[in-house]
Amino acid sequence: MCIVIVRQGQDRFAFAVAAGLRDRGWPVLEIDPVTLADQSVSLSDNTFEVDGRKVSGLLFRAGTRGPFSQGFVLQDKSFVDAEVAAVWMAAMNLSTMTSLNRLDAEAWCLGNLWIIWRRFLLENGVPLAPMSYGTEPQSKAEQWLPYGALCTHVVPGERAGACLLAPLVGSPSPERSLFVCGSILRGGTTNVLIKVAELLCQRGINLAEGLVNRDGQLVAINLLPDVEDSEIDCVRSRVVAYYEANLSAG
Amino acid sequence: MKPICLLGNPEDKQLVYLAWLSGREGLAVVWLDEACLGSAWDLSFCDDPYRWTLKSATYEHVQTDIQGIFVRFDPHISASEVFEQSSPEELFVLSERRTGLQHWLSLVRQPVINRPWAGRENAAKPFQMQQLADAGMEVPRWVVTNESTRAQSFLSSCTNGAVVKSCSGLRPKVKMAGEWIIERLQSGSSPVILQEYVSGREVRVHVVGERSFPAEVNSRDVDYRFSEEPTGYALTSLPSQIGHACVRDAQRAGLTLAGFDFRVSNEDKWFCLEMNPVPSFLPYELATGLPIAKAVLRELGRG
Repeated sequence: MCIVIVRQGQDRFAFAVAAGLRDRGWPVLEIDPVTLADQSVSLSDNTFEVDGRKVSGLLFRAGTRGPFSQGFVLQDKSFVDAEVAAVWMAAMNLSTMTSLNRLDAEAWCLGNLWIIWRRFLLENGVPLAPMSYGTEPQSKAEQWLPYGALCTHVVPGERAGACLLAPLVGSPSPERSLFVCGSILRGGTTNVLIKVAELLCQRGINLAEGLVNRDGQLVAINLLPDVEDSEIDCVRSRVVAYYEANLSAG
Repeated sequence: MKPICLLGNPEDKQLVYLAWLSGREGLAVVWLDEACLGSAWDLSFCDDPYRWTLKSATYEHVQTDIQGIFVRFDPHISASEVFEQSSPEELFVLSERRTGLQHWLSLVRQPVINRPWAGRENAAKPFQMQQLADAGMEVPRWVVTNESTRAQSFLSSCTNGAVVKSCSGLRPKVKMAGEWIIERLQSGSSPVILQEYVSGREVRVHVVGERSFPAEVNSRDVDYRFSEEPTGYALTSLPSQIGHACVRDAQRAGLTLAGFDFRVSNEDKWFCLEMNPVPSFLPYELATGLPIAKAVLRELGRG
């Protein structure tokens, strides 16, 4: 049995979690996402194996669309990326798998897009920062938050904005909230944000970052937050405890 | 009567057929050509509070003015003329615009066939097969692997042979497994699905709302989608429990329209292979007369 951590080389948080889990006696296999296609894997009967080792825990700290196919020729890469993504998405959703963030089919396929979480929170009655799409800006303070981005830009011209259905939002705050296992470890603790942390946790999202505007209203969610060096010890201990509790229970 | 919207590429045969049928049924259609968003027509919306406006030179519709939306996105669209073709911005524009439309379609309160988030597990066949089994469908035994020894062991256990399938939603040809796949895995490969082959006949069941429309597929090829010979389609019967299971699973996935592929064994056991969230129902309807499109229009009219 082992826990797989899919992480890029410079991800100090993932590295710290791996060390924390090893300290507690859990076997950990760290894999760079670009080499996922090179791993020997098998999946059947609710069991996922990598290099012959049964995987019970997963920390996937990478984009879900790749690249995963470093060792393959150019013309095969997009196909291999899709194939590898399909296997790891299925593995993440096994009932026997403990994953810090469990991405369902929609979340996995759309990647780290904030629209999923904005709709999810609105459906659950959470008031969010006002946002308009494809409209002309109503004030000079508005900025453009592209669907595929997590930071704002200057509002595009009128025709380009209409083509892009450009999402416009008020000025964001430089401070971002950090949600870990249903709690807020960074940023404001309004009732709305507390509710957001709980709802994300209920949907299987135990590590996320919230972009808020200058009024403290939530704009968007990022599932691959940078954990600052000063926070790593605190977040790591929560995450290690999460794996221990769930793996022991399983 | 309020119109319905058809969103996608106006040259898509299924959209053209629905537009033609809508005309026969006296239903007005608003065409939303994805490539012309921002030039021929405009959309603007808010998600909180919910409101939207569709505008062109000839119409203006708000969120209460339409009955429903049928969407069929084209994977090979071009950027609008506002941006130069093949410019570095093109991919970004296509991706942003498609995502914006997906967000809108997720929010629209009228019937949408289908919501963009629905049935996404089709992009991961092992995940989908697990869900189909959980829904009570019989799924042929399978394994996902890129290990030749594991593959060899599985193939040895399949008395009727096995097929090789892709794991993702991409559509390479399904082939009978043989020594070739072992050699391919030995030389290094991404994982494949090996699935026990079921001798018998092939049936496609389209689900629209609570109705199911079965059609038998007659082809000598393992994968009729790629057959060089003409594929035949014929009316067939459907056990009620299978029909109910298909409807339940489509509803679970959030799909109003879905296509289930079955192999029916010589002992009349129904094995579900997969569920398609964007099925092309046209060849089945045109060959058999099954009123699938009419059922789609009826569902759109519920808004």
